[in-house]
Amino acid sequence: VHDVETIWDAACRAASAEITDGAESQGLDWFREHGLRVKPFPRLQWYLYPKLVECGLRFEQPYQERLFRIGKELERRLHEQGIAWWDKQLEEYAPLPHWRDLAGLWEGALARHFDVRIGDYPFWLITARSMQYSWGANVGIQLIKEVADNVAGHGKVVMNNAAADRLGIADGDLVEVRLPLNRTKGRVMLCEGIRPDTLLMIGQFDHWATPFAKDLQAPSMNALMPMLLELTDATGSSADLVKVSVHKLGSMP
Amino acid sequence: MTRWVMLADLDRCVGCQTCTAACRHANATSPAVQWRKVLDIEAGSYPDVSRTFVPVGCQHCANPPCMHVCPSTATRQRADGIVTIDYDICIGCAYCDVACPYQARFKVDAPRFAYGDTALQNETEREDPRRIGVSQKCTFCSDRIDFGLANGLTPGLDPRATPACVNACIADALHFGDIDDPGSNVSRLLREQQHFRMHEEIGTQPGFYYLYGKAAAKAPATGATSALPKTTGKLRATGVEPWHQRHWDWKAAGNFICGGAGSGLFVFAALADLRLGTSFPLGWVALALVALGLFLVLLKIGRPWRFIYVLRQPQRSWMAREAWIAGFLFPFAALATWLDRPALMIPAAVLALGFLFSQAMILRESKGIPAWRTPRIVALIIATGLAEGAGLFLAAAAMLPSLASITELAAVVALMLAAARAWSWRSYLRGLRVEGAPAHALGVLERFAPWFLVLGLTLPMALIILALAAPHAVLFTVAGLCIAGAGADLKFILVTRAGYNQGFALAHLPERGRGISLPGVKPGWVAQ
Repeated sequence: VHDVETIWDAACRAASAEITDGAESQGLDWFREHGLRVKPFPRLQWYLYPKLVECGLRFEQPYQERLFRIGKELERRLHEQGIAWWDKQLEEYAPLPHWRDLAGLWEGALARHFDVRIGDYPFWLITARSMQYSWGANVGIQLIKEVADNVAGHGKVVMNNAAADRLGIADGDLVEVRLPLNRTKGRVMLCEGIRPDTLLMIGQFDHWATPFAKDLQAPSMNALMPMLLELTDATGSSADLVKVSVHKLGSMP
Repeated sequence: MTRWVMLADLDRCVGCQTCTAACRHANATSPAVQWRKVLDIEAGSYPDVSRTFVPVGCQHCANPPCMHVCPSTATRQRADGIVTIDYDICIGCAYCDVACPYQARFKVDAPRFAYGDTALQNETEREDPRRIGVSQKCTFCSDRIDFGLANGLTPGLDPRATPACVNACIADALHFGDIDDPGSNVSRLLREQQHFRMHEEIGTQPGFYYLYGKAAAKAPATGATSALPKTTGKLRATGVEPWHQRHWDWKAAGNFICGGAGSGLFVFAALADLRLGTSFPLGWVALALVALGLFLVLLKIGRPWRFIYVLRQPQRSWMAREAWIAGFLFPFAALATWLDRPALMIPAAVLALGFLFSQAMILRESKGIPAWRTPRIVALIIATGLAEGAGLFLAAAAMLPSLASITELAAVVALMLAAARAWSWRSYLRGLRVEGAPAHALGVLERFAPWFLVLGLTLPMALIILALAAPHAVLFTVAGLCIAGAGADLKFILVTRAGYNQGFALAHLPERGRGISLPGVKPGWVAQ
């Protein structure tokens, strides 16, 4: 197994060799210094652009340019109204987004808003849709629950074996997953195919009030998701992602 | 000839369970009754992990244990290989359930609905009361096949003539067709791809094949080495490991306990009768015990009013043979006991031994329960029945003045039989460890072993030695009851605690999409 630096270094060398037809090969350090490398691209090969220009036709700009233009338009309208609290999100209307420390963004926001040491919340909690629950309304159908239960993870807190071992948690144990904001309970299902620093709760069903669905008793990360402006993206949404701690409540019955 | 088979491509199955839902819907089965379902197996250790989805259900075996054990002929096999059930004949004894190594049998004793006690309109309209209390399983959608054939369609190619699960498969992982036709879709796939069948070592010759990669790719191509280690590493296989059979409860155990002890007791009553020249009420007690055991079975079966159908298939089923022998044993033994003719008691005792042997063979033919199907179970059950009978006889002899003269002899015989039973038990356990068995079953039996030896041999031996040194009727009685009680305990544990089924196993564990497979897995098993 190679470390990340080695992998990136190899990728950089391969990419630079490819665009120079093998004449040059620069490693990760070169790209750290220069940022990017391009090669000439004849204008004639630009899809329909030269012809459209030649004919004087109106056409949409490429997506990135449109995105940038829309962002600018939105920024002006908002500022005309004296609205500045969306400025952070407006930065996302960029043709080529820069890398951002998303983990740090989440950790910092949680630490600030809940006055906690983020190290006390060592797990990333994520969610996933499953094939059986591809449509939300399926949640009320008994047959769907029955077949979904054949697939590992439904209705459980999916956790890496080694991580659970360290906390003295065994398969089937009842655990509480906590954030200062709230907490949720569920039984653990141990799994090797999940990162040791990650928990998974398939589906988010605790908001259902309809018959059958309201009695599923599945752990859900809905209750643990903080609504913070700084974690809200330009679409007005946020990633289903939060840092949590896990505590064993009871053993498998 | 035609032989319908199903193929499941493990490289393609994505575990969506659409086949499960389609089967439930097409066949209107009750909630949790899944004739077709897909297992979810994870192998390896983080970060090198693979996940395999395995469709399972009735394998429509060429040599189906469920059909061989069926006492009523409800389970049959069509000429095209499909194993069927006649709901109108099945008595609901669930013998097929413990005989099936694929956990493909289901028995529902009361109507079940998706949302509590109230049936939805579709459930009311599609409910089939004939299925209540009887065995049910996958039919390969034989109604669709028959419809298709009658209308010139080809099963496996035309959806109207193809099982619902195959039609529904979103990944083109399930295939159906005639394996006897070299040009059929399934024959072509079997030629082109590597394949195996589940639990072939049991000799069932399943009609369900698992594909796991191109035949040409038996060895990984150069450079295409697996990212996975060459062992399966850790295994997560919930629902794949053996679980305890659900239908043979304390009432079924009661038949083995009472039937074994009763037939054993009758043998010793007959021998005493021959030696002393007169009959004793013990023969009646023995028959009452056998009758009680059979009555308990009657309470257990799903359709007790059809109990007479148990006699329909003595050609193959040991349960039917047990019933036939009981049918001869009761009048013959009752007559012998009533007429007080020792000469008649011996043939009746032979029938009682036949009854005991039948009980042993009932367990032996339960191919779905590894702790029962081992050949050594026969000697163990016979030795246990005789030891129980000898123990009860000793307990009675110590109390009845008319048998006082043979009490010491009875004690020695009972002790010898208890020792033979202990030896047989040791051999049985050793055999299970060698042959392999579900870990839970072996755990139950090994935890029980010391208690069984203390209660069934050591304690009665000490009591009998004490009683022989200083004769005391109570010591003989307690020793006899210990020997009989240990036997009853053994059968209770065997049936209601150690009756773990075969579970599921794969001869190869493919790494999906790579044409490479890891060694096979047999979750929840010890050794083999």
